[in-house]
Amino acid sequence: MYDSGSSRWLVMAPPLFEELARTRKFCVNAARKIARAGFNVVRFDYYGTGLSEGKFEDFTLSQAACDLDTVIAMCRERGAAQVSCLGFRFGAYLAALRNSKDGVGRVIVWEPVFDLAAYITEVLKATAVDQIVTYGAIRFDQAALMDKLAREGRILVNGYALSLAAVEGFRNARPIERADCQNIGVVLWRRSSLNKTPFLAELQPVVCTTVKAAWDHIKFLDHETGELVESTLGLLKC
Amino acid sequence: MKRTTVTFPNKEGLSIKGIVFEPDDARRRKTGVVYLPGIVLGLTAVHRLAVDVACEFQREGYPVLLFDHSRIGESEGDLVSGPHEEFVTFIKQGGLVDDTLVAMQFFLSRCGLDNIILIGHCGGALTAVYVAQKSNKLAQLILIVPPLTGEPSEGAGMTQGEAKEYLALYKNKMFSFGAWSRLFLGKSDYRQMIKAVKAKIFRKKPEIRSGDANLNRSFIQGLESVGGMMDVKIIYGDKDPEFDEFKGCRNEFSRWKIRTTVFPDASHGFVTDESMRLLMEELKAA
Repeated sequence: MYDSGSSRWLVMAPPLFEELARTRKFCVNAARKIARAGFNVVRFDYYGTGLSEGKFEDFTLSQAACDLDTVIAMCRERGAAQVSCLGFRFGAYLAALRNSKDGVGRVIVWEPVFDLAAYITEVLKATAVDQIVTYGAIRFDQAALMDKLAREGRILVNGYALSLAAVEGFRNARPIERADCQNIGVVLWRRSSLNKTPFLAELQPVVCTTVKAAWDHIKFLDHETGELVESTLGLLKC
Repeated sequence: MKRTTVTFPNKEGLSIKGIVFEPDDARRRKTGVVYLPGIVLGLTAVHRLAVDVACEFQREGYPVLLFDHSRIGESEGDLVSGPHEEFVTFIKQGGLVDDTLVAMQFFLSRCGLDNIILIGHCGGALTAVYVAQKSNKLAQLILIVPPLTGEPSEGAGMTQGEAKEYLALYKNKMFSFGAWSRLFLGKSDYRQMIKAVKAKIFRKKPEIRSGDANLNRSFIQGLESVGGMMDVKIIYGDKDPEFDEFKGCRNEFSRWKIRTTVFPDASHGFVTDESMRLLMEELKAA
């Protein structure tokens, strides 16, 4: 927790998989800056992920949603009248679901993933790369992997043991729709993101031009958060 | 069994943040484990390998310390942005040694330990060897896929293993419209492609004895100096991009009394069930 002694609180809901590790320093920097601007900021990792307890194969969408609710409740127990939520990638889905809920202030999303079914499909495709790197070729196609998932209850994706329950949770999750996003602040730094979610442009996203933080590779590690934090603070104060 | 978050200052006064995994008192050993992750992404990188390893050793009765070096992850300090190669160079030049020594001292004192098993993955393994040359509190070194090549500025090029990996990935994209679009629209990494083809064509057998310019001299010399002083084990996967380099050095490692193990079908990140199982078994047996 980044305690500024303020009456304003912000909870950051993080990404998943290796996206979390690749952007951790970036999020730490952002949290510190937002705290210096006068917010109590709370970062956390979902159960089974990051530095939290549990194994990744115990991670589910419903548990992650509960974890966010638990953190919000903790902030309220410590005196927060309202808690703003900042969701990054997968975290944006959870944050958006809490939009307009009691006790939740402004919701801001960074590079949001609003369609979890599409997201998990992309994640599962990454197993092809794992196989090429490990075996030199693809040994198990998507159908074989799904069969393995159904039989064994889990498969490894980039080293993460993804459970059948987690995959089903993602596939059955309803996408975030335009109607869910009343007054949500959106910050992007990849213009291509506008193509992935059709209504994102209608939400008048702030597009940062100097942010290079990548969640999908480590060719370049960017920890600069100046423009991103300024944009986020601007939206929080609206 | 419990976990306790800890904070301690490094030599510059920056706060280092970590977690101590404490075993049950009844099983508690006087040897602790410190795990050093690779590159500069901190403890949660490479599918939380650090956390998984810590939990395994905790169950076996070892206190374990995980921590983020200064400027990395949760710890204090600023880290500049830059290309991956710059961070690799930073680690290869021993940039994380000082904080590791401070962390070990803190851990020894806090948990009343006699000594430490130092486990390092990738860049963490390099740091572990550099630390071993400066500490007399190590019971054992376990080095998981340490990169053996030197820096590009010193003449180190792409390895055969890396080239093989890239070419396999390109081959997989042969029928990808997106990949061909990127190629013709100038969005592909052409330099990488050329490097991969060149490395594949101009094969060279890496060898310590030949003074191969490709090898990380500091690390190799460090290994030679610690080999006889303590129990050192190197674990490699046969699909690691630097496996050829490892094979070229294996006889020398053996002469220096360094134990080595090779896993089949294991890549740098141990991303399959089988390779993870083998790794965990090997770590516990070591």
